[in-house]
Order: sequence, then C-alpha cells, then structure tokens
Amino acid sequence: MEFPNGTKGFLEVRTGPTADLNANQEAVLPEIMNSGFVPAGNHASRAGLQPGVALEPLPVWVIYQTWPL
Amino acid sequence: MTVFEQAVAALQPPMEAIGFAKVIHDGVFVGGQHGDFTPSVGMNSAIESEDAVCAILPILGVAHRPTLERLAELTGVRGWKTGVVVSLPIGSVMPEEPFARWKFNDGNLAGQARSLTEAVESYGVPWMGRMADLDAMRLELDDGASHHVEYKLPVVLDLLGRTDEARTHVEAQLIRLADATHLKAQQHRAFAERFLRELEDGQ
Repeated sequence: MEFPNGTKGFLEVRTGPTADLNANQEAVLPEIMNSGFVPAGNHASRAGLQPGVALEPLPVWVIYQTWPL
Repeated sequence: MTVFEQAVAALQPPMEAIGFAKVIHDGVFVGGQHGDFTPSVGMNSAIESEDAVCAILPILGVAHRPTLERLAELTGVRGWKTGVVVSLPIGSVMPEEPFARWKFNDGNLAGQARSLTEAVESYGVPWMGRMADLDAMRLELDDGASHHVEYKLPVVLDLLGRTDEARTHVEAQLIRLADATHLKAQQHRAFAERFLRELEDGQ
C-alpha cells in the first residue's frame, strides 16, 4: 500500500482473540523486507499486480489487534 | 462455497448487465473490447470475521493489447497478456470514498452486489472510458496508482513514438537500481537490456 506521504510498505493486520502470523507469513514477511517478492496467483491479478514480475523490497508493518475492530 | 465465491456468483448477473460478462482469474470481470483496449474490474478481497465476511475493494483496470504483448515478449512473462496497463482502486474516483469497499456475508449478497455494480457503472466505467486512449494511459502511468510502471511506461512511450523519452526512462531506472541485487533489479536489468537493444536495432 502507499501511505499519504508517498511511502510504500507492506501492512499486515491480524485481528481476533488469537491474532498471530501463520507459518507462511512468518516465512514470507522477512523475504519481502530483504529481497522483494514476486506476486502470484489470482489474488495478485485481482489487485492489479502482474504475476511473475517482482516488486522491490518493502518495509513491513505487522499490526496485532486482538479485539474486534 | 466460500463467502468470496458466493460474492463473485452474486456479482455476475449485475456485472453482466453493465457489460462485464466474462470472469477470469477467479474474480476479475472483463468488459467488452474497444479496439485494442479492454476494461476490467478485479474483485480484490479480504476475509474478515473468520471467513464469515468478505470485504471487496474493486480495482479498476484497462488493458492495451499491443503494450501487453510487447511486455510479454520483452520479459518472457506470458501472464502480461492477461494483465492490465493502468489500474486503481475504485475509491480513487469516488467522491469522498477513497477506501470504498463492500462487505459481503451470506445474508446480503444480492444487495451488496447491486450496490458495488452501481458504483462501477457510475464511477468506474467513465474512468475506464477515459483510459481507452494511449496518451491518457501514459499520463495515468506517470501520475497514478498503477503497478510495474518501470516496465509499462517506456513501452507505452515507444508505441506513442516518443522513443527518446522511453530510452531516458529506462536508463534512469537502471541508474536508480544500479547497486541493487534483489530480484526486481535483476528482472528489470534483463528487460532494460533487451528493450534498449531493440530500440538501437530499430533505428
């Protein structure tokens, strides 16, 4: 996402009483920060990203909200 | 059936009624072609409340066949052919609704589908109509929310006959990523080398 000041970053919000990262997220979030990532699958297509074309490394913020928003 | 699948099924009749009859990529609604330009709406989704609610933030997109075919050739990524050149969240063209989204659950599918489709027709279709022009796409790439601009903009500039600007753009990106070793930098260098070589050969 792009924040109002133009900074781009990856924002992961986990909600609910057991808010936590799953195993895939634990593996992929450091990769996004250090190496960038290659969008894949239907979700990427639906978001207007091009599967197979890498994006550069991005800062990652993880927000835990254990109470329903 | 997941809530997202139910939402996509509920969206099909109203979206078809406004000209988006084809569904690809499990949730991208494709409209009728206007020359080389094809509009689409991606139902970008987030699951909430332990799979009971699906929030959809529609992403508007417009494809331009010659641009995408050239990108597929230059990068070896065939998926470009079913991608889009310009895209943005529908909220960006809705007054006072920059983060517009529709929350579907199994009790409100038809109503939310109608409401979302009305927004696409009122705000999305006019924007997509304006984008059915290569120079409008160039301006949108320069100043919009589209992804992978470093690939798309030089190809669009070249197709517009603005070859010097295309070359300058690619060379500037090469300088920006000169010290980078990450995957994007590697992919972009391969694209840039081939693109610049083809520009040389074409002159």
